[in-house]
Amino acid sequence: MFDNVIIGQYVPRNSLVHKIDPRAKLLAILLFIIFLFISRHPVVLSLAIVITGTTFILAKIPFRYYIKGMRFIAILIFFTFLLHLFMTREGTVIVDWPWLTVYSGGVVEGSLIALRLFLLVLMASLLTLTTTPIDLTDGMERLMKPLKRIRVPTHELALMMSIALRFIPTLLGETSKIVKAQMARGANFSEGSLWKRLKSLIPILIPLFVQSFKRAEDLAIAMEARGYGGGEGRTKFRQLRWKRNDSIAIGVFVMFALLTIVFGFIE
Amino acid sequence: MQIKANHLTYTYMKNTPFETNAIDKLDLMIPGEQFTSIIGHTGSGKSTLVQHFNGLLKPTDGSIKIGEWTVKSDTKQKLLYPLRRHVGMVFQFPEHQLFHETILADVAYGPMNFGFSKEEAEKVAKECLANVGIDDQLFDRSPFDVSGGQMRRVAIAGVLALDPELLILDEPTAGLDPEGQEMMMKLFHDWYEEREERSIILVTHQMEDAARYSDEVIVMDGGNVIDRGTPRQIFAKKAELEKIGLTVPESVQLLEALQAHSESELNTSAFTLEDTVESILSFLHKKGRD
Repeated sequence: MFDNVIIGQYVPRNSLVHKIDPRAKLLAILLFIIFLFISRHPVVLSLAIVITGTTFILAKIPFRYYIKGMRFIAILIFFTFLLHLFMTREGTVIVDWPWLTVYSGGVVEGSLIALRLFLLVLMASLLTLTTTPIDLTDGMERLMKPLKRIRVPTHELALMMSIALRFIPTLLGETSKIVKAQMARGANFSEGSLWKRLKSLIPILIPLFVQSFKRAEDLAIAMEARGYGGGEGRTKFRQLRWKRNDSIAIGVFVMFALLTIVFGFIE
Repeated sequence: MQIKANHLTYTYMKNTPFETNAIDKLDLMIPGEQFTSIIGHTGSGKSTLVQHFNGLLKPTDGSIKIGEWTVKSDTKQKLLYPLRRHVGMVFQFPEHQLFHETILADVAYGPMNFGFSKEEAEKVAKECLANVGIDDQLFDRSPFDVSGGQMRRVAIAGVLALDPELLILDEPTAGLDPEGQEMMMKLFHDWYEEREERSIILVTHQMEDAARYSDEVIVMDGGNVIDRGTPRQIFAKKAELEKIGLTVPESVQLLEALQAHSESELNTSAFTLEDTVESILSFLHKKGRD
């Protein structure tokens, strides 16, 4: 039922992208996201497309699997495109109907935002598709370390994130089971008015909440039983090691950032 | 209700790197009006198979006929609603499906989905709750307020309230204490005996239950049926069952050990306490005569 969800899913592969240090991946994506929205110069945008495409190919994630998982995001991106298309009042008028006017600026703005969103989602999902949740948490915790000085609970934040990621598949499985159980009792989710359909979700949401709270409690007890006491004084069995490939990867994204700034001045 | 699977295939997560065939080109006929058990190791495809019996899953390939309904990969969801009225399903840990404010309303949820008025639905709900042994003082309590065993019985009443012809049980006794397990199985068996046209399909890891209650046992492994027969026939094949990670009921194990130890013939296919005692007694008599 939820076979197509790829959020938080990890696909084991032996690829260059999988082997990159999680810290490098996180930093690279941060750079990419920030600078992707700064410049609108065609050179920068085509560079972004090339970088995303190359990363995607290197990651060896099957394209068909990916496309199936993107369906929902594609709808969101399409709506954003439409909003920009109709709301922008710049440039020359292309379509002039009594109830609808589309300006050339709208087409440009809409396409631009759609392209940026698409690249952003593609890159961000590549992060979880190629990184195990444990690596991801370790990477986040290491990167946030400086914040510890100003008393940000970095370890706890990283732990929360990894637990959230870890439980996405569990929750989906649980949801699918409850949906089936209620369908077996004659629940109908796809007919009737909007209000009726919303109401038909109650028999799914309540058991799901009850289960989640129970699971959270069980998890807390299990952690305490095994002596979990926060990040204080805790050492790591798995050490992250920075390699040459990681520097190269970061280098590529720093170059992208620099180019964006340079072209930003030219504009 | 008769079930007929024709080249049934079900693939999980099709077109993804995680693609697996849970059921592989299965041909199967289960006659109606009987108590059938499906046994098999974890991952043998038995849960996936039974979810086809009320249209919760649609075959990826092939088809399945349940009574007068035929389900194929392109069958519309809409056509499957009436089927679910006739085929009830109790999942593993059915208490996870409870959601309403009161026990009575939760049990009435099913009938109301199928167009019963509130009064009718509550009347049916009350009968079903009484059948599963829930006291009427509890009717207005929240289903989350009662004990685990009671929660499960409420959930089961919620399925029985639809008055199905065929009841599918997917490990309904998992997580209950021995006494609770026995009570639960007795409840299902009584329900089955009550009317001629009723059938039960039980998916279970408890060989004792499969042996004791079923008319027929179906053995699954690797997404296909590898054997079927009466409990007597199936549980006489200890070696074959052990090869696929299954075992025979404890009573059979005991009698077989006795047979091997004493090097004499005795009846090893006894599945109830009484039969087992009988078999041991006749063995002792024979011993005494020799």
